Amino acid sequence: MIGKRKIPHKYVYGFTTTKGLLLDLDNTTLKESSAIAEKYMNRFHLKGYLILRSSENNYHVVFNHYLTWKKTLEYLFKIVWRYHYHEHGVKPSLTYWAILQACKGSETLRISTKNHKRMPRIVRKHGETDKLCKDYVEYMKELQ
Amino acid sequence: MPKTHAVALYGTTKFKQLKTITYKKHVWKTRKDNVKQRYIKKIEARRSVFVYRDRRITLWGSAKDIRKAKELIDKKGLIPKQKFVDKVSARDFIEHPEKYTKEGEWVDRKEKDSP
Repeated sequence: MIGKRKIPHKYVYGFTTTKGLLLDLDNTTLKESSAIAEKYMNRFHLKGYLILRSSENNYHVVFNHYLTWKKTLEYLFKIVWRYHYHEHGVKPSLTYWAILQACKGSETLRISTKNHKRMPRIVRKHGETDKLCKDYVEYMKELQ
Repeated sequence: MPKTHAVALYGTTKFKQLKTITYKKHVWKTRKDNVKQRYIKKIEARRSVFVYRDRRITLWGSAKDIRKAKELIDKKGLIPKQKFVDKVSARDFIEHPEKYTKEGEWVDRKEKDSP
């Protein structure tokens, strides 16, 4: 018997939460995303983060600390305010993503494959990863 | 802080929908003065056609429950009933999937922003 072949699903699925801060950074390098994650982790006392590579030059950031939805929106739009007019030019993709999440009432990051893109994989861990980061990894592993 | 997160399933779906169409038909009619005349009659009819729509369902609960719900969706070929079906408990979904979903098909998604 030839090895079991997985039928690819045609929908996309993503980890959704209202209890922590997630970021979708498009058109950035790993160095840039790390700098952003480091800066806002220290500023908002978020204690740790995970950086995931979703595709080439696109990264996801998951901060470890649990937050209320009110605080999450506050921090998210503080980052958006700074990041929209980035030093390397205007980067509105995070702004669009943040507006969509605010409309929805929760934040979503993809954990599945999408068209030609592979599922996101962890490229950097920093600080504590025992709260939201752990939940994210648990959901990702369970739904693979 | 309660440990409940969710998984959102989104994509393009294909399903049958009833659509009202109007077609023309030539009909012969006898006038009062006994002259036969042909005229065009408009007839309305209902036809089921395939439609493509973007849909999203958000399942809340533990990872295990969501995996079971996802397997159910894959097995039975279910799609969300409305455009956005949010705040669905995964446990409730496993017991009563007909409340939130109907039969349909997920099709390959074009490059698009996440809803």
